[in-house]
Amino acid sequence: MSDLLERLASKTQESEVYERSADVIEVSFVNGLVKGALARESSGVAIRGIVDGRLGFASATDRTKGAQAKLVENLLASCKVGDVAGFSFPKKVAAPSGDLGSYDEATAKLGPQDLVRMGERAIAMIKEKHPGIALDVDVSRSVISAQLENSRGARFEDRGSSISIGIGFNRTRDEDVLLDGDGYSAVARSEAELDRAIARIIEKLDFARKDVKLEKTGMLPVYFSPGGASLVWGPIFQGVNGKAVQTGTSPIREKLGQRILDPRVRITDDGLAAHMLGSSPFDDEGVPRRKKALIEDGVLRSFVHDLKTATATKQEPTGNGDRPGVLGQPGPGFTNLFIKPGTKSEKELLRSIDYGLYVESVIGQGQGNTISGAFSNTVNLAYVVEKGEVVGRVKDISVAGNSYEVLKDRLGELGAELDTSSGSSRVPALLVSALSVVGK
Amino acid sequence: MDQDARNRVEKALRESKARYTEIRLEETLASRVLFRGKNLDAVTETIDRGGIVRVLAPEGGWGTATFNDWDNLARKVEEALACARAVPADKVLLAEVAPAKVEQGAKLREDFRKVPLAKKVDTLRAYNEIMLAEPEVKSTAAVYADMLQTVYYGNSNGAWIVEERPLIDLSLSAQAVRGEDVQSANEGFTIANEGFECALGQEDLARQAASLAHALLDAKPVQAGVYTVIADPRLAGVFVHEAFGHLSEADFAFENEDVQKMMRMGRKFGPAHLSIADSGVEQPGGNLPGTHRFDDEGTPMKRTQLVKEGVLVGRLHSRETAAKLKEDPTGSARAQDFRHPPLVRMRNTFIEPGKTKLEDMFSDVKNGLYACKSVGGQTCLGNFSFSSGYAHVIRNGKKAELVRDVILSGNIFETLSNVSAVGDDFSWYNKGRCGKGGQSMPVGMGSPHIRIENVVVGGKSS
Repeated sequence: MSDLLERLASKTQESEVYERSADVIEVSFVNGLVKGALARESSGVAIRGIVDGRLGFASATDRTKGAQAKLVENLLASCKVGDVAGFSFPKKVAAPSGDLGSYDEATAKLGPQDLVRMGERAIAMIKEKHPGIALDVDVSRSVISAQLENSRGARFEDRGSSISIGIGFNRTRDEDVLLDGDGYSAVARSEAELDRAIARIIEKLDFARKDVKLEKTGMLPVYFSPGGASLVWGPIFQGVNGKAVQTGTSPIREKLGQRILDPRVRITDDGLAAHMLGSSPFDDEGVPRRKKALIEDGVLRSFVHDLKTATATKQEPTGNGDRPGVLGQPGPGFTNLFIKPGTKSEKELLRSIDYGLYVESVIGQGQGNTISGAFSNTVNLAYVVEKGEVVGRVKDISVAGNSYEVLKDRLGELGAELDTSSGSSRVPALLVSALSVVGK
Repeated sequence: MDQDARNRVEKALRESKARYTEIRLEETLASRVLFRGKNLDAVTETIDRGGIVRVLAPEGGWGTATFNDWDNLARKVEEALACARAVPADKVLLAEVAPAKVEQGAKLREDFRKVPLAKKVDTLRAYNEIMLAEPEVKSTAAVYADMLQTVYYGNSNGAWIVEERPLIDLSLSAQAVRGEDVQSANEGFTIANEGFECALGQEDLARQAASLAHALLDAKPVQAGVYTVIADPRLAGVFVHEAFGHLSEADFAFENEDVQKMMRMGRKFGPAHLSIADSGVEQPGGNLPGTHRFDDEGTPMKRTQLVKEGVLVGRLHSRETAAKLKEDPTGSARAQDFRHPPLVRMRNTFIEPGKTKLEDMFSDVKNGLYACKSVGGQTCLGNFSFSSGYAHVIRNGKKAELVRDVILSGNIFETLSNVSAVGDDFSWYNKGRCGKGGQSMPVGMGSPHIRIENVVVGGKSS
């Protein structure tokens, strides 16, 4: 038992110590030129305790002696005014078996020069096809170690690596600024993944070469790239979050077991998927991670919970306790999200459109009253599709709808391919058979 | 003030072998209380401590190291230099800034660090209960947060600056629920340089948030279309921040000639009644969240005129972007905390008051919207989008029924030239943060009422 936990044990009924440290290297490029490199070393501790049944929390990155005493004092003050916990910290259980492949030694050892080479390769390949384009690139690699120990005997240590590259492009023609990007994140560096990101950017710039006007508005078929589709999935993800269920704001809070979406929709949260960024044997509260269907054949099967929201809603914790950083409290969060692909390829989906819209990204996603399912956004990068072919970029139009309605009644198809650019999700393209499109 | 911090920084600066070195050490004490519905979801105090070293390689660019343990400072200076040397960057130059020597403590009436957590909880609970008493308000998110950030800054040009930066956030959100319909409304503020007293007596904000959320349940979604929009100061402030402010941040232009051409000084950007400024010295000693004496490169903050009578006259700079574009630094290099190097950021951005009376703005609007408050905005530089908290239809010059889901969007250049009237009133609206490059900064926004023609409003199509 750590010294800190031992000190807490005498002052609390139950206690928990969570520590996290990170070692990060980043390099950045502005308009194709490398600007510098950054090394980030961080560590901190968060403690929770239950006193007289009340839950408290305190955290610090200051590990000096005086600060440690103050940390314990802060926790006791927090326990005094905190809410009734209603739960116990988890007991010791065996870790789910098998290596999750969350740590890649070669990636963990990448230095600034390696990251510079990745950025330079991306810039060179994109500029070869689009010489005039301005590219801002950020490449980073991280190693994150976490450990948790509580007074009920649970204890684990975990370590993960990650690599991420974000490539932003800026094409300015007189007053017309096109800003978008792509990239990938993963446990381990992958040349293939970088090549795919580069190819997507080149395709976006090819498609956006010419500006076209939208000839029709009103209800149109709209194809969302896997990234663009997050506009439509977003409200559903918000709705299955245990916090929104606990607070009574999720519109599907009372719909467990009911069909809420098209029967082809299956969404799974899997905290044990191999080689994925969201995987670890335990969540940030010491609850074992697991794989579970959230929506199966369109039927709502599960929410994602931490200890607190599970207790408040009288459901089981799902291993989704997630800390935003070492200083923040756990809350329900996704691990790795999987949306079941469809049967038709992305190309086939596009070919099926006689006249419609192809959305890569929108402006202001997540703005507005999204918990209700409503979205209404101007497109940032979108194309007109005519007789199955992309004919050019369209601007100054917006798409609007309600996710619950769209994904229940107007789901055209899901693409057969899964986007692998995010290390914590696998999502297909989405064709909506009819969506409100408004132009000037 | 902490002599220990000064000794550490001065020693490390002396020993650094870099062409330029700057060191920022920080200590932050923060507390936060959050109610969700009836539950006290969080009550915490955090102790955050760390530092950042930035150096320039002899013939190259930036090397940066961030850390928590001040004892590692000497090693971090070396690590930063190793980073700088590892990348083949062009030589970065910095604009000259006279090195300041200033130590400035915060003067708080009721120092929130000495207020017991229980009192913060009780104060917020009272506001939360006011919201929950409103019919159909089923949930809330009520946040009280305070922090005092002490920044110790030194650089190899000889600057030594200590600044205490106190900040309080009060955010009161009510969610009214009827079946599957959920409507939210939010009130509150972000305030600098004030003590706990500013969080007291805010019952009206709780009432306003709750009654608006409730009223929105009965409001119809706005009919999509193109409208004449009168924006209240709270929305107009977000508009100028999103639609124009981000374009004036020089890090977007300094390495890009196409952008420089688009943002050339002297270019007409709007009608003659439109003037825009960004200032870090507005209300000196006052409570605007973007006001400090110095930015995070040790440059004194200034008032920067961006648009004067419709013409582009200035932009916001760091020392690097100013040197590159041969303009003066403006004190706009701001960092969220020691985990981040500074970026070019707005401070308090505002439209200057004009001459039009509010009633005259309304009088000739046949079919328009009076759009109020904002619940967020984003810009992709050419285009922007923001959501108003609520709006009223304007019919034949008169304010009519409440509508919701009002999302306004457009092209920046077109929309600025469509500002047809600027009111003779003015108010600040300081709430929340602006995000950029993974950093979230407190900023101020201000404006009079403004009228904009031909605004695209999303929503249900007819």
